Amino acid sequence: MEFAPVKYNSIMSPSLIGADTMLKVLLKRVLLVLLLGQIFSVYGQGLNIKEMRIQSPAAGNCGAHALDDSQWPGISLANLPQNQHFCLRTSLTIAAGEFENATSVSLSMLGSSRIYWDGQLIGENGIVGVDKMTEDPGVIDYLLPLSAELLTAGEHKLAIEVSTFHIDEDLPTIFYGFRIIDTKQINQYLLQSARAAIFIISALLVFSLLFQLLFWLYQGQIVYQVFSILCLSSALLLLAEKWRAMFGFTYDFQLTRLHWILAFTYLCCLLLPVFYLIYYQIKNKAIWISLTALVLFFLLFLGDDYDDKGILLFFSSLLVTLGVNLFALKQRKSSALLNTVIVLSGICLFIGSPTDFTEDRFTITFFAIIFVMLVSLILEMKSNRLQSLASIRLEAELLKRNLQPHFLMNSLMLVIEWIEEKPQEAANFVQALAEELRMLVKFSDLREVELAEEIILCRRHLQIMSYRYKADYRLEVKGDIKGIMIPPAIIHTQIENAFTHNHVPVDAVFTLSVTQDDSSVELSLMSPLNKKIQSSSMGIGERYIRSRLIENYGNHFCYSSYPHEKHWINTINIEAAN
Amino acid sequence: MHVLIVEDEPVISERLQRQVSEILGTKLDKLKYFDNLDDAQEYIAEQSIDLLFLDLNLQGEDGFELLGSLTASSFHTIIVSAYADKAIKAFEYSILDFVAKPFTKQRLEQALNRVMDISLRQDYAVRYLSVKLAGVIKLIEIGQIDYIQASGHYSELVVNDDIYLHDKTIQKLLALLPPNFEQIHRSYIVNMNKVSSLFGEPGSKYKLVLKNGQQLPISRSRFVEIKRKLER
Repeated sequence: MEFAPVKYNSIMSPSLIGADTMLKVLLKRVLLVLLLGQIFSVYGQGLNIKEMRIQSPAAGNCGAHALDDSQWPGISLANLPQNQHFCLRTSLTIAAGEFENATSVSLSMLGSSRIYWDGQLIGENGIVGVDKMTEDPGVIDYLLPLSAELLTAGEHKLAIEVSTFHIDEDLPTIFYGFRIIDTKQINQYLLQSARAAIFIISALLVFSLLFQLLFWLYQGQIVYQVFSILCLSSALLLLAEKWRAMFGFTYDFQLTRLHWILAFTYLCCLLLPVFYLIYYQIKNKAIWISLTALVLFFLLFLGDDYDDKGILLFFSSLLVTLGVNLFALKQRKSSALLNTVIVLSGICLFIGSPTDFTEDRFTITFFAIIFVMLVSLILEMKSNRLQSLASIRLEAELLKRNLQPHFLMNSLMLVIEWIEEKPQEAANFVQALAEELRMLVKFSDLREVELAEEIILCRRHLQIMSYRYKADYRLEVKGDIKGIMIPPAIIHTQIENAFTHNHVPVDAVFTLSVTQDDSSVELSLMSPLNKKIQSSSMGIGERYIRSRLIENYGNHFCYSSYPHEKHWINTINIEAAN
Repeated sequence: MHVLIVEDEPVISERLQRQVSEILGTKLDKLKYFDNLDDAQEYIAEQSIDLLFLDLNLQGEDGFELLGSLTASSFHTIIVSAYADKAIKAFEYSILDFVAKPFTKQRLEQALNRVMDISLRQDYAVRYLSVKLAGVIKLIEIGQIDYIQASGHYSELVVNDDIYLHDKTIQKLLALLPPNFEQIHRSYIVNMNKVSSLFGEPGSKYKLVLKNGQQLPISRSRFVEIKRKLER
């Protein structure tokens, strides 16, 4: 006996399938997400009923086959009365073989209903009543299977007795659809819809959690928090939107749900531009955020159709977001171009079908933003890692400079000499050395120190140098140093450089001039030199100073170092607001 | 002996002056010190010194360039430096000794003994002798030298067919050269690796033959020892 080889279609263990198959499966999934809008809107074929004859209020006996409704007015179902008890009737013709599979009546509206087929009561959704007290609300999407015997070819009488007393607000329409439809098709639609919704909601929740964790455990940047809430509110919006397809509910809950949807829409629409305002560090962002919040809030009260409100909110939000991105683009902010493209394509998606965008397609745009966000986050982590490596290097450099043979060995030489010749001098010198080293060790793992402390360090260094050169070196400070913070040991390095690369006269007085105003702080050190300038540059020390300044201030500083007459001048200008 | 000290740190300079005086005692004729090289070079140009103690910042190539021009001079140079890791490279430039900071008096004594006693030849890797050639410093690889001939206060380094004039006397050069250089005559130092044979003419003249066929005079007193070394 021969066995045909087993063919796997979609469900396979990953170890069994090749990379290209994996890729296909993955592509299919991605397409599924991208084409969600399509999946959502395909509702299947069938008989779509849009108009019926109405008797309002219902006089009773609505379902009776023999009832003459020829004098009843016709009504478009979109205009069904609210807070009423009424009867709807229509005749329909079924062709032979039109419904071969299992078939159902699908009625989506805000109301309780009793459905009659050729005078026979075939189903009741809730309890139809004559007022709010007597009515018990039915589900919003009522699906009633039709037995095959009922679906004979020919004309049939369809009647529905409806009561709509549980609508607390005047809505533009309470009707969403009345179809006779293939049961399997509609179930498939509901299943697919639910599956896709759960997939997207889960992903959004995971991203929301991810950015929460980033905020609490990695870096407390407000942009992560905003983005996390944006993901969360979009997940909640989608959940509220899809609650109907996923779980169903009695129709009296619909208004509450619409309120929730509007609230989450508002939140999403507000957070989208807010996120970009914070992301790009736009100036005066507090004003822009308040303004956006206010405008969007006004839009909440414009019109009385909930769908229209959602559309208006999303459209305004996209426009503001586009504005923010274009502004960022003009200011040459990183990733502004990519984000502008995303927002533009979001706007295209919106214009393509505003209703679909508001209902679920906004998630496509959101996922694109999440992707950019993740990429820029990873790049940021990478640059942070490089920067932290750089700061470790700077830290080591600072300590290493004091282990430099020239400094260390000469100092030890002095100690040996004085131990032999003048023990007290040796003790004093070692004490001064220890004090300087202690400060340097303390400084080495700081990114900023008070200028006052830096000056103490410089004076200690000058004390050591005075011992070494039998001199009386001093540092004079001009100007107000209060509240100024600088990277550690940068002035110390300038003084050290003066000694390493040049001859400093025995009675040298170093002068540090400090000027500060609203826009900047300027520190200028004048180091006196002997007649000869031995070196035109200042070597590794300069590199250290620049690296430290870049680390702390990016491009917001100016540094110059040059000889001028009998002095070497080092000037640092740091922009304020840094 | 005329000693010059170049050291910018006064305390260390004083220590050097004091200890050099103590060690050399009456052998010290004159001791001068400067805290910078410019003044020292001015002094060297006018005075003839025997020994230079130099604190040279050997970080970077400039230091070694300067070192080459100093060791081409007639006097010996002893480097006193904090950069002990640069000693090996400094020795390549035919300095007499390298004293690392911090130093003791014993270490200084050892260095000074090398100046006075040629028998304390160094066996570290002196690789070059630097010579001044039309004002430019040229490094002569020691292994390439065939022999060195005295020429008044100078020496002639013979490398293949080229002759280079060196400012040091052959006595001073001998203190720098590795043990395979032997003095064979009052006026000759030979690279033993380049020697092919010896012969003595009956009567009085003894000759040393280099591998390139050139003959050099060898003093009778050195003949036996050189012959023994050659045969070993």
